[in-house]
Amino acid sequence: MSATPVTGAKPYGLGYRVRKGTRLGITYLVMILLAFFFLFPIIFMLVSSIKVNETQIIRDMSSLAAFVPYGELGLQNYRDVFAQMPFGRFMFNSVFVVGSTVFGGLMVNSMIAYALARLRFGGRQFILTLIIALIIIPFEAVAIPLLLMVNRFGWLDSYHVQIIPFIADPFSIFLFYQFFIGLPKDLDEAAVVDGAGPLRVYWNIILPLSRPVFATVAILQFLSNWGKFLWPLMVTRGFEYRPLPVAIQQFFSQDPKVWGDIFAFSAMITIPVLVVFLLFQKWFVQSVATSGIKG
Amino acid sequence: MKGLRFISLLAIAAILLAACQPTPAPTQPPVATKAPTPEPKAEKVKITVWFHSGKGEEREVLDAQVKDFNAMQDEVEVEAVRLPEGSYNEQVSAAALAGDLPDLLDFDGPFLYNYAWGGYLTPLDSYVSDELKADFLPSIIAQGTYGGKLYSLGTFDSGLAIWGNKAYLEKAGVRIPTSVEDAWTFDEFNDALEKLQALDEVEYAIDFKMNYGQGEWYTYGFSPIVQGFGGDLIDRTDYMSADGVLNGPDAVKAMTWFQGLFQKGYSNVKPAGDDDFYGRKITALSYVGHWMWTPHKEGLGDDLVLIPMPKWPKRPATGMGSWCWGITSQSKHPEAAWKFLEYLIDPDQILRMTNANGAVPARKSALAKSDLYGEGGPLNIFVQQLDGGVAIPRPITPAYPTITESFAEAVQNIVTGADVKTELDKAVQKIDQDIEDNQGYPIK
Repeated sequence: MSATPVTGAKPYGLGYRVRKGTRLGITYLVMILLAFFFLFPIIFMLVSSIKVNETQIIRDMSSLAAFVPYGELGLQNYRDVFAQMPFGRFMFNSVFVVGSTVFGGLMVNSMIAYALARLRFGGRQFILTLIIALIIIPFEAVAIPLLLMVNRFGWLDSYHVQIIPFIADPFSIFLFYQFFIGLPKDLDEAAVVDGAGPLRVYWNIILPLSRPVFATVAILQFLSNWGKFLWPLMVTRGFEYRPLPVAIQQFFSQDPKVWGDIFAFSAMITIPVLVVFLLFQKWFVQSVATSGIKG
Repeated sequence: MKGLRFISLLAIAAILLAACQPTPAPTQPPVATKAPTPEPKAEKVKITVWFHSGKGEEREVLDAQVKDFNAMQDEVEVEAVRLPEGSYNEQVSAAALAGDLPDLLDFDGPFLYNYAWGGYLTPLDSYVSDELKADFLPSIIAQGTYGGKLYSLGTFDSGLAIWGNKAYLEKAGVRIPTSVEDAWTFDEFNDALEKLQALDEVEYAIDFKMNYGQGEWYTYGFSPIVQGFGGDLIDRTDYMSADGVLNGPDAVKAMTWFQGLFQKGYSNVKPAGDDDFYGRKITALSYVGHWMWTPHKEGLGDDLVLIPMPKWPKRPATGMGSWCWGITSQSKHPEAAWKFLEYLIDPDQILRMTNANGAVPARKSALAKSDLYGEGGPLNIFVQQLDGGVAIPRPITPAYPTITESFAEAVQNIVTGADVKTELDKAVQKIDQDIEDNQGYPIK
């Protein structure tokens, strides 16, 4: 994909422009197709959620009509969701649990990473290796021992059982660590000379310089916690602490399934994710780009 | 109280996390499970009851029953927790693992065997007198019995038969059976399908509710066909293998016949909605359970007829079973749990529930009082099938969850054109593997 003009030909002649135009056209076409490919499920969900007629939703499902808002449209499905369950409660539970986990995680994990990246103490390298090794252990492998443990503590059916086990996260620590070791040490040394302790260096020097990585971790943690299903399913019981992904199971009960309601519920779960992503997008992209350069 | 507990537990967690130094471990683990509650003088036994959040009407009745029960006596206080149905079984399993099961819970009938085998449930035999037992539909007792002990009682059962559009049936000149005794023979059934398919108004002779999708419906609805042809989901003599039964010549014949209905265009693999029979009226028959009574009646009015399950080539068979109640082995107050269950199975309470959800009342004394299901009632055929040995319980084995999943997958592939024998072989392999993995599910 070199953009240098062919030698001998006029730099911006008709042939060149046609070739360039075609190339651009094809690029755009491929990109549009890809964009549709990724957007289709979301469009499908949003469009279906406003189709009031259940039969129409099912009929449209296996054709392109699924992406076209036509027929009887309205917010009835959304109203149904609110009528059938305390949706606001579930939404609050999810926001509170995920918000607390992400916020607590940002603090705790960045501090651990800071200690590993900057402080000198015995066993540092070993702890770091251990944390990296922990990344590969899937949650499912520890779910049952963890369940037995929290049950011993009497934590079942609560907010903290959904928050505390997930605050410390090896992958987040690793991301923070990678970022922190790339920050110039001269800055903290200058601060230390001025009499700053480790906490002050962390708070006044490291933190302000690390916004992109904080945004990245926040987004990644938010996404992985927002959709969490297995753990809340195991540890929550009644409405009080139930988060959204478990609450949607109420619709998968007796046949026939009411797809309109399911899509409306799904749309309402998805929107906060999109909002968070859009809010942090700039930093997220920036962080991914720069961490790529650092290797 | 919860808030205080949360803060105290946060503190405990922080201490635990900080206590990585090899300091002497705290001798006494924090007793946070039971916060000291002020004990009332006249002590009411508190029990926890779990139930699935099913249909709206069912939920409302049960909520009202809990409320009424708590108000009518002062010995037992019921705290009811509603769990989402879609993941109910998983939640029960997780709770059983954690030792956190409630005192009483409801569950879908066939899951009983897995729960009972796992030791989650306590037998009800000591509470249920012979007289009481005899008043229940035999299907309820059959469904609730495992290893010779009764573990569950349902307040209602389900019924599966064929609903018909009288106008179409008469136009096609098809005989309409009115009781289990004069049900269609298999040949008559095939003949009826052919004649109905020929009508101009009819696009598909029969609707098999394929819109319900792959799931429990497939096993509930279509395993009776396999059984009627002489096959079954598993060899019921010892429940050790499905080989030769689910993939034997009878089962293959059954599923080949079933596949043929879709291939010949007698039935639609992908109905556009739920109402081909009662709304759009493009199908003449609907193979589905009692739960469609209200929409069918509203859609077809006097044209609605309920036809008993045809006499399959080898033996009569239809579906049965529904949600039922069991007392858990982890319950500290089984007597109190029974007291509440006893209230739920009272004939009047049964009718209160079945009048709301339309299901078949589980007790004969309640059936006698039911307008729908009593003698001469429009849905009495379901009772005849349940009481007359036509209905067959789903396999009474802890392997049931695997059986239903494998069979449903096979049905899905078969109706969309896959080779019948290959699919049934695959299902058998999965089922047998599961049984082998669990050492044949020995009764402990």
